[in-house]
Amino acid sequence: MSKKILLVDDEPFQLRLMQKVLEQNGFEVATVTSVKEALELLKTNIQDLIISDIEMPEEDGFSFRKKLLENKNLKDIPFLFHTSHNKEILIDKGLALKAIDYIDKNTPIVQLVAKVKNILAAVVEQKEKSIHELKLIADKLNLKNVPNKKLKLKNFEVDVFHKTYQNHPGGDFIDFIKIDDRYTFIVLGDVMGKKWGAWFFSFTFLSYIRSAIRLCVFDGNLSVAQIMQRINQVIHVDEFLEDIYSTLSLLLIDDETGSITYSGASDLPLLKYVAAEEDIVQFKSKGLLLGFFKNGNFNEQSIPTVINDRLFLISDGAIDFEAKGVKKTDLGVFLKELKKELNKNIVFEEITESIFNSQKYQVDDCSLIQIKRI
Amino acid sequence: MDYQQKTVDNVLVVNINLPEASLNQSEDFKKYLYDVTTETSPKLVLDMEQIKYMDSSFIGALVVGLKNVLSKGGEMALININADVMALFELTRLDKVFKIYNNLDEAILALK
Repeated sequence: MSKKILLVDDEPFQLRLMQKVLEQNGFEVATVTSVKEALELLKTNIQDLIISDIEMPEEDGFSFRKKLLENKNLKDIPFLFHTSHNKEILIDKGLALKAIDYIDKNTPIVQLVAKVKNILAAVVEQKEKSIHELKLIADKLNLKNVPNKKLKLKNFEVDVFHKTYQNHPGGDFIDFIKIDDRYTFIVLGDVMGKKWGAWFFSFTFLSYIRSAIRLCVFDGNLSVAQIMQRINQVIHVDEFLEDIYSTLSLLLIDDETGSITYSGASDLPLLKYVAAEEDIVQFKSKGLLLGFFKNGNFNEQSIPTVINDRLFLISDGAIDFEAKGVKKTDLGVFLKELKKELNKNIVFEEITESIFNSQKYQVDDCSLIQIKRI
Repeated sequence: MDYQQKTVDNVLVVNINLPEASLNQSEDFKKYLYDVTTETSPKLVLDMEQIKYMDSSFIGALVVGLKNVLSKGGEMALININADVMALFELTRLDKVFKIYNNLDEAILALK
């Protein structure tokens, strides 16, 4: 995607010249002739870089810069002054307003393009460095919202596929909670939102879910619908999570009888591949988004399994597709692809490799959990 | 403008002009919804005709907006939802969370 640059200058010739050269170099350029127009455009169209003239008739570049600094959505956009006044005082004033730099209007155009490219590259580098540092800290604190190895029970094997979006962690969270040799809970949630914000809250949801499950089990309660309601109740009253919502699929494996119970909160259907019929059956839960209502209306379904049956839990990132430039969320397309792969009788890694290949459209982190009866 | 508003029978009707409603607009949209529902018992209809694709961040913003409206004793409805978006709403039971109508007339009749 090309980087967006906003040019602000009251002189139309100057604007057109710069626009042409920057566009030739692959940038998407918007031009305006006043600060007023610039602020209007920035309300709906955030830019990667702003280059502004200083001397303009109605409102000057310094005033523009001050206004940007007061706006939390706009203050971090890299900003350059473009000026014909190479007077130190002007430049000092500009740099004091946290402008990255200034460009003299007499600068040859080749140098201007080079400078713009350098600045944008430096911004990307700095962002990647910060993300890398955050990740290192998260690793050190052992903060994980997805298990890093598969789970092997007597009668079941549980595999996890989880793919982050452009290397950013996201809101999907997964957990296996083994109660004893007989019972294991499988958790898949998706905090609404993306990247770091959603990732951060996923730990709060996970903590609540783990404690609610443990407390219910201590009380002898193994009903997934009732456990869901307990989780829902605490999240509903937590002010910290007031504006944060999550979906949840909760599954309990009874490794002795081979039966599975399932409850969900605004999650996608649980999918069951019946090996004998080479077909996929959907189990839709009834529960509503965690914490939105005091009572989430959770139901519970018992899902029988025989050897070679496979159950799948998915997050919404798994069913985003793009065809001819049009994005689509389509469970049907995903089901078709999954069925095609399953009928080849291949292992989990091969299935995910084939479905989530580089051609698969992805805007979000996506997760797929397979529970296979062995 | 991404959002155009008009008032019909004391109900604020907002047309969301976004073919793709996603993470990039969700924060801005959440703030917009707060800004237009400052009065007590706000009545709001969101026209979603232009939206062809919606991601979970934007749905999150809609849910937060709804909660805010409900906490003020108001009402919020969605109209003209595209078939793909509606399928996602139904799959995730969000059709039970929001009031959804086929068109503006039905929504106004229900809300006014």
